[in-house]
Amino acid sequence: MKKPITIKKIIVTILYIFFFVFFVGTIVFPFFWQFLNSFKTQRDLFSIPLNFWPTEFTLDNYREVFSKQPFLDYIINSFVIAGISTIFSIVIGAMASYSISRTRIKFKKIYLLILLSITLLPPITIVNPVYMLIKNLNLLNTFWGLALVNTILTLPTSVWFLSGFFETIPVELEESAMIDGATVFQSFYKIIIPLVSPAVFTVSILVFIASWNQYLFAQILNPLRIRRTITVGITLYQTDHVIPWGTLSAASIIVTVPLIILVLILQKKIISGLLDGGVKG
Amino acid sequence: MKYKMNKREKMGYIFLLPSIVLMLAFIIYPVINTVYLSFFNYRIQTLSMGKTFVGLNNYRMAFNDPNFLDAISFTLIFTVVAVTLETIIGVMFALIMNKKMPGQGIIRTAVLIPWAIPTIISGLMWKFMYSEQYGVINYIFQKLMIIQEPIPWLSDAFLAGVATIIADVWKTTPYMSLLILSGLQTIPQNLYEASSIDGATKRQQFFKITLPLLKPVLSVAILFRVIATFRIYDLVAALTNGGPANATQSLTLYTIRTYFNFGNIGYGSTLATITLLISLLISLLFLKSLRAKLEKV
Amino acid sequence: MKKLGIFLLFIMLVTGLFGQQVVLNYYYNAIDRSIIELFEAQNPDIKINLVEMPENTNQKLQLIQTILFAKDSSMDLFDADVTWAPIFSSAGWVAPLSKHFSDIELDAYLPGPLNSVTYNDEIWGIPYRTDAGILYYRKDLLEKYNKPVPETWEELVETSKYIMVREPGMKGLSGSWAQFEGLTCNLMEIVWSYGGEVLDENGKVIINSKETLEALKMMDDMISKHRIMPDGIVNFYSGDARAVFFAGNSVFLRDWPTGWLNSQNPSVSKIVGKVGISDLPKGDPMGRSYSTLGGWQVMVSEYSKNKEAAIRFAKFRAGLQAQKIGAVNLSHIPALKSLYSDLDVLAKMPFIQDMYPAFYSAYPRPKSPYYAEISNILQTETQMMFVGRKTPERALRDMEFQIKMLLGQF
Repeated sequence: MKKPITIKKIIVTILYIFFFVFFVGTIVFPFFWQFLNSFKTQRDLFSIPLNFWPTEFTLDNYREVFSKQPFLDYIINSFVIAGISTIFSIVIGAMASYSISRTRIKFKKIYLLILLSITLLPPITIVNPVYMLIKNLNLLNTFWGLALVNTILTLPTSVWFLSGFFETIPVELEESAMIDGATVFQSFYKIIIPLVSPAVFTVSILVFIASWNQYLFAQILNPLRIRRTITVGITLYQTDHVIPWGTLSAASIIVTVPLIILVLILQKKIISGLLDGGVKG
Repeated sequence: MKYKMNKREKMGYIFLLPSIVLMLAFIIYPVINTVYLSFFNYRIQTLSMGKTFVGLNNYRMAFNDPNFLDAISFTLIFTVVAVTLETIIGVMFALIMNKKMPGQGIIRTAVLIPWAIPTIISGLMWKFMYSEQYGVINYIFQKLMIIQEPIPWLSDAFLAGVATIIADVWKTTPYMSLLILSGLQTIPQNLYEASSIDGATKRQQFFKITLPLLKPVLSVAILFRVIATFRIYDLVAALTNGGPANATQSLTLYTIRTYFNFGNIGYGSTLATITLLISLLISLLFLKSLRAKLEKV
Repeated sequence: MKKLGIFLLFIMLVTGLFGQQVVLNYYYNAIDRSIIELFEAQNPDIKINLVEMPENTNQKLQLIQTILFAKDSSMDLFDADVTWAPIFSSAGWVAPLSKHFSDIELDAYLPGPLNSVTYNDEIWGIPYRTDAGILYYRKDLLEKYNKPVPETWEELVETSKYIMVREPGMKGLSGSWAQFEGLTCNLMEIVWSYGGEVLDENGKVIINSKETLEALKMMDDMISKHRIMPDGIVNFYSGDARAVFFAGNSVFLRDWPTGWLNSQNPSVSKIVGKVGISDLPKGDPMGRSYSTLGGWQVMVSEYSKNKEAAIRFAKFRAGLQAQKIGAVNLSHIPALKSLYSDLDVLAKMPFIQDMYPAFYSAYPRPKSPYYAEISNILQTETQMMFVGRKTPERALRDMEFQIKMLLGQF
């Protein structure tokens, strides 16, 4: 028996449509606006009053993004650094999580407390000492220096999520493997890792995005053009005199579109990962 | 059996080693260093004289420093308002996303996008939108006849704060709503069904079932959001650079200026330490939920 | 095989002898690359690596301070703003340069820029471009309403009001009054022109005077009483200020000379051919007009491992050839006297001949190792006044108090 279409249902549907448009609209509008602006000429961008729609389309802004700065290099740098940070974070985080959830360590509580304090720590507190340290290790303006810092900053996330998942894996699986002669390391590698790949995936996304968006340390540790990241590079189009909105719009589209596509493709997985981790963690 | 345990424990410690090394080098030592320096008068300008121990003087100076007091009051008010808004709106959105509606995929994707982009970029985007000369927000409002004169979003002390809050809420509410959604999904449906049968209204269901069961997830989410918002930097740097008249100078922004623009390392360390202490204080307030989280692991 | 070996050895020796190339990392502000090419051609043993800095001056300061504080040797030379010499020299982070210059060489530079790199009787940098605030005005509007170029700020206000009433949508004066260094520049020009000053020759704080108060009141009135400032002036950076003027919406603009070229560029300016420039107005009619001295200089890091080569390059970079290229190609105002009668330079920037007195007598901002903080205090308190949180009197008192505290003059 089909339920009758009541007025209430119609109102709810209309309200829902309003909500949908408003919600998605407010979120998406700034990007839409950037997108539009990226194709506008200087005239349109700086006209008073505003020209909402471009009177003519141009690709100049996009050309300027790459001609005014080696933006492609920045993209590669950001990508490599985020990638390395992710790998470090997963490996070190997984090792730590395994240790915490599987073994009886004496100072577990202290370790976790310090880990938690990393999330509570204002980055400003460690900026100068960290700069000195990275400089003394000769890792300024490299992939590795910034990657190390990203790793420690995202370690709490990594450990929270991964240890939550480790809990769900029954100890018996490992024990049976070890009875079969595997070492602890082998049981870690062959059994645990494959089982936690959903968690690894979620953590990878979180760490990658956090590293990609890193600004403060990227600014301080990689100031030279050769290893500069996108977040720092994009602020360098501005001068003391003018903010080149056209170039900035184009640059931000270049940065955000791949992220948007990534999110679109992996949306289901990300959300399910977050939801599961959010509950357990 | 005992042999196995020892080997396990050994492995356990070894596995912890890399993270411990990182923590010592990048967290523990720097924090100690900063706190240590906070008790000294140490400036670039007087570098040749080295550091002079001044005890608690820097701290005393801070509490008499109008810039610090302004920064801290702005940051606190900003944090409270922004996080409250994010939570309320986040809960609303989470409730709606929880229902199986058409377009759910699109909503969930849209929700992730502001979170995925760098804060710097969102700051620059909003800065352009708020511009009194070229801003699209005033343009739309004027077209819709909501206002006559352009709103001085970034040149009025109060409005600049409002503008920053809006930009921050835009960026972080989506992620917040996801976290809350995860909490909602742990609430068993039969609770609602049972209470419906008993005649409970939606309102009663929300306040008596949803909220209480949501509490653990909410407290942790709110805690982390409060801590993160409290140290806001990227957004204000991009959007207002602390202006006008320091109206939007967050504590971190002021600390960075003190450190890197004025070259006052000692006082900068003091400000950084105070920021740390306040963060710790806030965490203490949420201690119960923190403990619960720690216990789980 | 033996022959090959000897040949390889020979190659290694040769490249070893001549391949000892020194690489200098130059953290630059703005430069024409042909200057680098020219230098490298004349000095094959030195290679210059250009390192870009953030465009925002404050961020530049941040970056350089971090590097120098860490005694990092990866930066050999850097461009410094005109107010930074005391900051870096008092920290011992830059190399003293006077022994590398003869008196004749030094005399070739304009006195203002040279003064700005001198601190404690030593030279810490070499100026390669200078700047001075000037007044831009709408020739056509002043002609139309038969108004002379204003000589005092009062006149400027009156003329603005007169024209604003008759031209709808027009504003009087545009300038960079946002909370950044530009505000200090605009502010000090007005303060000095009324007879006020921040520090005396001995570094004592003398800012709280009735002259300074008059200047502050004038700025405040321009916004709230006379209403001749554009909306959002409190957030105007140089670009915003220019935009209003170039769109034809203000009678006057206070800007640096670099605005001139753009004002004649039809793709960004609607007022091509209608622009005149002049000295800034005075406060005290019996006094003089003051322009804030701006500009950039090259400094050599004390931690550079190649100081000798760096100094060689610094001299070149701030030398005659390079400054001429900068003037012709990038519209950098020269810091060397002789270039003001150079035909090629004048062809590009004809106005600098008339404005030479202004550049010659451009006035420096307070010289202090604590300048960054002093400037910040000036900016903040002025802005507090602008947004109505403080009266001019209160703002001035607070300026005095904070600067005195900072300099330990209590």
